[in-house]
Amino acid sequence: MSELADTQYLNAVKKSELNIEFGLISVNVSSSFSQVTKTIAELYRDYKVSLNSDWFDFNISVERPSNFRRFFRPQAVFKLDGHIPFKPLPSAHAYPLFEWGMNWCVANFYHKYLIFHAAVLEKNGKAVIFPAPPGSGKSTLCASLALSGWRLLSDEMAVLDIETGKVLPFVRPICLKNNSISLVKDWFPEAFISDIATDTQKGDVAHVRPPTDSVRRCEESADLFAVVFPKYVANSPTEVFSMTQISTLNMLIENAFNFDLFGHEGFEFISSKLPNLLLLEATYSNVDELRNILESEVNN
Amino acid sequence: MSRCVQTILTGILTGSHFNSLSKSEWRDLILVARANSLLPRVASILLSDADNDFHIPPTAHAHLVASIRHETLFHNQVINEVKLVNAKISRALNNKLIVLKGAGYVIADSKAAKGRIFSDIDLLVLKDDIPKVERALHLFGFVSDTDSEYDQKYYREWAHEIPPLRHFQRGTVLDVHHNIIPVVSGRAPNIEFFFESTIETEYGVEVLRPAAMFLHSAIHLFFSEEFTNGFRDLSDLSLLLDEIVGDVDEVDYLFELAENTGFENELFLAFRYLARVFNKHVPANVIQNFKYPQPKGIRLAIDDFIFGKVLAANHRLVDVKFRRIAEWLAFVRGHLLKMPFNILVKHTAAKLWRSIVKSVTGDVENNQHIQQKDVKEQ
Repeated sequence: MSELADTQYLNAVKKSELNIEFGLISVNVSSSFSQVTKTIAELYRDYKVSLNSDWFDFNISVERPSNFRRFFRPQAVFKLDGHIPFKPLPSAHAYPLFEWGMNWCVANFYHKYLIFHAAVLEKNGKAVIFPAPPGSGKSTLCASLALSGWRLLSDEMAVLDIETGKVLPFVRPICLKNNSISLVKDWFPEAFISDIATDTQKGDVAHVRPPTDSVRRCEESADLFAVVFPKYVANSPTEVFSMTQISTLNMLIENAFNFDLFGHEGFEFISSKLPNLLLLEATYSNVDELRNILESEVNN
Repeated sequence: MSRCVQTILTGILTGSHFNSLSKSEWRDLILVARANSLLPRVASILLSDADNDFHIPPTAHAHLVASIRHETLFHNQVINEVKLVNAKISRALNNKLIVLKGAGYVIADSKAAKGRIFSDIDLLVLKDDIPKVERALHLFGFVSDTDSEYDQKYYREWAHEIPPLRHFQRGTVLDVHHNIIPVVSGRAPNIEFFFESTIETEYGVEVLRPAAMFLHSAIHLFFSEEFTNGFRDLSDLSLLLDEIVGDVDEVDYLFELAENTGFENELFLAFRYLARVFNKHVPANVIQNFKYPQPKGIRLAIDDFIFGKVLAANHRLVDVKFRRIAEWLAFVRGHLLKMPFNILVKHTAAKLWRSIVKSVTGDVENNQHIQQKDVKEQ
């Protein structure tokens, strides 16, 4: 992306000629919002792109709706192949809408792989899945690990290939919410963080540019090593508990996007994987302490 | 020069296209099929038919497999739901429960079930049984979807069904019918003919026999006022036709039923646009059964204009000139068929008022292929 001249980029993104290559999928992106095109250029700086390619998996855009609302309290709509799957948001939330819309496409249509709502990071060839509901501090932990030398595979989706048993990267900007935005800014002043969209459904939201190395390795799958359920509790000591296979399975299913679509196959796959994985629940308030524990596990 | 994507699509859907596609043709095929609710059907044809020469690139294969997974789960859920509903209401019925349309194809294991996705389960019961059925369904968690007084009145007085019932937990929507088209249209048939055209299934419910299934599908399509899935409906008719062409008795029954119920014109239109829009070969021994004087002149020209356009695949990659005008004409035609003019004026006024309110308050509504959903649910 960074090799494109500014005018070339803007031209391509306005005319729906720009594909971002994620390895997993190829997405054609366009938008009439300069806020969106600017943020895409910043956050996807290190991605491979193609112009006028003869393939994409999804063609998405964020546009102004064509009704009277254009003139007061303007809105932004997300479109997949010209269709509007969900309600518009205030135009100030156009960029988060772009990211969430792309997540929605994959979670709703890309059922080639088993997908869980989880962050995935890898170190030493060992991938750790962090499934967690909102509020558990998953994204903060994810940003902290990704910016401290772990390879980012995904902030939102653990993509599992049930044929090879591997976890596939779907590297995207990390979505930070509320207080975690300033925390990550303090911890990693050199990290690039997008403008903040205030008062979205998830509160204030900003996106972190994924590390260059993680983006470059977006076609490199990883072996599953552990499933860790993080739980941020203010002022708590860092404590790690072992999880049973059955409760891990239950919690994974709770965080699944398409487990039901895989029927027996999905169940058999997970059941055969769990005995070989490290299964943990981690309560923490200090991210560094938790990171040290995880690093000693993957370095073993 | 790239081939027209609709030609490729109809070729696959009618089993007459066996050539390989370029990468961009695969991309366009998937886009157009998905927008017309036909991706699972295309997938099930391409992935199950070992005889074709299609080399499917892995990028396209991923989308086909994904849509098949979705269809398989969906059909299992439909069968379970039908069994469940039947268990709850069968004692309230004087006749066996009849399952219509999409759910009916699945229950009957018809060719038209292949890759068919739909949003509600259509049921047919005797009019006298409606109050009992409605009470039983309320009791088991199905509640009316609409609280608008106008909608309730519309359904109760003029329609052939009661307002849709949605299960408060599972979200399943049931459409309970006592006829196949609105009573107010004046064309509603003596429904006895359809009650006599059923077959039993292994699930304890009945479905229409293949000839009646085809006729009902044709009636439903050519009484519509809205054709978002018109191309998909033609594809249904194509597969439903495959179920009867080889059976002389079914073919005879089809024409007899159309004559008895007064829907010969709908049958004529179905064959005409299957051939003209869908490139479907309708055998001569089927067509020759028409005794009914076939429409011609200006009336036929208008029908050709409307249906030649609104039944084409609906996507920006399929260039159909004057499609909007045809859609508008189809909208007016569909309403005029369904209600007398004085009632139509009242109905239009009520709907128009609602849409004005919506456009001013800025609700963007989408009645296309994707379910409306809040981003919040992500």
